Amino acid sequence: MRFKVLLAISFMLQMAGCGFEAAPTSALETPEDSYHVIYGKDSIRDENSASLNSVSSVALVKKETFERYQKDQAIYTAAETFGGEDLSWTNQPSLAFCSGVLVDKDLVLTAGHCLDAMTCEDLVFVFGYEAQGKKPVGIACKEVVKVKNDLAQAKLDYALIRLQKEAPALPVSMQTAALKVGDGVYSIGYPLGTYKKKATGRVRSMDHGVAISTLDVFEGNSGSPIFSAKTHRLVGILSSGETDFVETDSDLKVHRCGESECSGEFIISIEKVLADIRK
Amino acid sequence: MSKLNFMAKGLMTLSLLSQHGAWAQSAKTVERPPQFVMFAFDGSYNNEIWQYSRDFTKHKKSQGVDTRFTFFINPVYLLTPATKTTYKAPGGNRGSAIGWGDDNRDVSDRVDQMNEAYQEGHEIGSHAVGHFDGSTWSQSDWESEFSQFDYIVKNLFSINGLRTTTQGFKGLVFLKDIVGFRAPQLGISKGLYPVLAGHGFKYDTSKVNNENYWPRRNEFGTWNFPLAQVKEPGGARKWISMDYNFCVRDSSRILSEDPQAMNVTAYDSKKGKTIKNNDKFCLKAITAEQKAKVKANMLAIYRSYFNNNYYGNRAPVHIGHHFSSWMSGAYLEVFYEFANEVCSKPEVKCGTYNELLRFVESKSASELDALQAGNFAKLPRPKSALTARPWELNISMKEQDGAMKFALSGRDAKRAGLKKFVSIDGVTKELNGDLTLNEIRTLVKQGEDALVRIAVKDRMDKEVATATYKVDKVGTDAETVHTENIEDKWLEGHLDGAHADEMDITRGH
Repeated sequence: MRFKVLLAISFMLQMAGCGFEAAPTSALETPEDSYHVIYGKDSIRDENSASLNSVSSVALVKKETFERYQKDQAIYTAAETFGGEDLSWTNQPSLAFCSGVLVDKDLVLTAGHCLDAMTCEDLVFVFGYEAQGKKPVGIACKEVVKVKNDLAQAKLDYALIRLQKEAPALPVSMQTAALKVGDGVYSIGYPLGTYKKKATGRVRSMDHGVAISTLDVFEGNSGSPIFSAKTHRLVGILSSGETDFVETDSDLKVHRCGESECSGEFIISIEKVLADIRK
Repeated sequence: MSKLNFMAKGLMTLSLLSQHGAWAQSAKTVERPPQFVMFAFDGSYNNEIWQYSRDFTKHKKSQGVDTRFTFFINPVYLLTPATKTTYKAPGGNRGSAIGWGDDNRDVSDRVDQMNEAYQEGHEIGSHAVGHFDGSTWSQSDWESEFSQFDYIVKNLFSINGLRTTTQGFKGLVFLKDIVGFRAPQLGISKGLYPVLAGHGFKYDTSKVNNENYWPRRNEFGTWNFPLAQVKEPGGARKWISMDYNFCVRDSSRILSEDPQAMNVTAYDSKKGKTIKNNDKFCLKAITAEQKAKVKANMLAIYRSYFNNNYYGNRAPVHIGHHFSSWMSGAYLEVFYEFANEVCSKPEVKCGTYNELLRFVESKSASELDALQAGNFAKLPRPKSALTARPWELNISMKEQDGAMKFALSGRDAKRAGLKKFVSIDGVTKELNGDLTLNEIRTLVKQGEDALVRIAVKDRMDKEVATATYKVDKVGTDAETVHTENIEDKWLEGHLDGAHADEMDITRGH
């Protein structure tokens, strides 16, 4: 099948171009670890970097919501829809419902459950949805190439989607070497549907190819590309995790956990995804 | 050790470390249970819907997905106008609240549908006989109703003078397995439960409870399998997981947005018949645009209910619909679409109530406590942002100085851009300040009762909270403003009119 060939070629080219030790393109700075929300301090910050890893991150948006956005019609903010008034960025418009990453010129990898209640026709893939970015570019979905949504048993949660046309970005490089406990990782995605953001964390345990991490991610981050803090290559995609907010009778607050507390945030390793795609 | 168990164990270890998992220190832990999703119909008249439901199950089976239903039946549909006097309605009621079977051909076809459905793995339960509201019935009224239920289902062939059916049946084949009950209009009284147990019923589905409720037995040993009061994502109301209750609330919204909505018609191509609206409390025909809205709302609420439980304490999900095409068939479509969506998911069981019964009967009281508390390795929650949080916003009203004064309270009452709208007798306007009783008197004929509906809309004009108040005998000395929000009644499920459309869309009942 064409997508397999493309994936394999893209993977080999990238492997040949730069070894595991080198950052693939305009190197990202090592993420600062001084802030974390969910796990320890708040590590989330707006991401406007022109790095390959950043521009390859794509927002999954419902077609009708994107049409409203393009016409400058009102969009709910993240705080209105989900809560999180105690965070500085939740007054941003909540556009995306999931995140994804460009893995070939017209192929996007995201989480399988993102298609749970959504068809290809309902979707637009939006590149460049950033706090200070240019006008974002939306590309329609052509077909769902493969989808797996079974974290409970198969421990897989991914979807490979072909776009109607090539994306205005280059695909990311992948690292198929297994993640290990203690590895530093970062995500680039759209927490609560807001502008592109980066969060950092580390792998705190492994379970059958699923890395359980301390990334400060929210709903909307599903399908976010997860990169190695060391090699800056794609090591996985975000699937699931802890509930974002804690509700009391009078309040709704961001769920704050210590580094070793709560369920952790679940990353499906790219190695496992590629093995399943090749089946 | 299976992969699943291994992962569960791993997750459990993590959870035990969690200070947020307060349960970890307090109660026993159990294995993660399956997610039961109970799809049930209060219906038995429409033979086409029997057939469609059976075909749906067969189709899902061909795809490797087990999706079966529970049907709560009314034996008045096993009688005909010629034999209807067999049934004597208790509690001062007469005849049947929902009509009868058409004739022996119709009853015979229904027997085939019921028997074949049972043989294909569906379950048949009782929806009482005449579909009367039993909320004021005495124990002896219930005794009479259940005895007549037994008599009709056992003797329907001799009562009607029926011969062998087309499919070769000479009776109902599932009688020993009728162990479940749902009260018509969810109308229950104290006298019901001793009678229910005495007639061999093992579970009751007539109550309502929170979304995350794990079943318990009552003092008579009967299991409580309630419908849910589901919190509305992106809104402040609760909705009962039953189609008719959606219909009443959706109809009031549609009529407040478009007073001409009563004039919309639909066409039933199978019967070659135009469907007209004759009940403002539950519309049968709506525009395509409204139908899309109604479906999206119900699906969003059902998805939220399912996800909260699937990734939460796995309390059974209960969906209760009718054999009716309310809202141009929107709810029936959602019933099957939702089943299509959830039944193939890992660890989901879309079986019948009997299977849920066997599961809960195998659990000890302390295990049920642990399930209620969610003391097991829960699945991590997907990080997609598709479900808005429910609002905390209450509407209250008091009558003062010749006016109805409305107040908003709760966490979301201070949101910017909230607007109030009032609808009375088909007229809707934005409300700034109080609603004077004089205004009501100009809109409603003297001496008539009025329903005053208040809707709160957010800054995007989405309806997020509503309340409806009754004013009796407008403009007379006996004019009375009731302060109870009648929508609270909708949350008890106790509503007239269920099955009305079931009769109307079929051969003239």
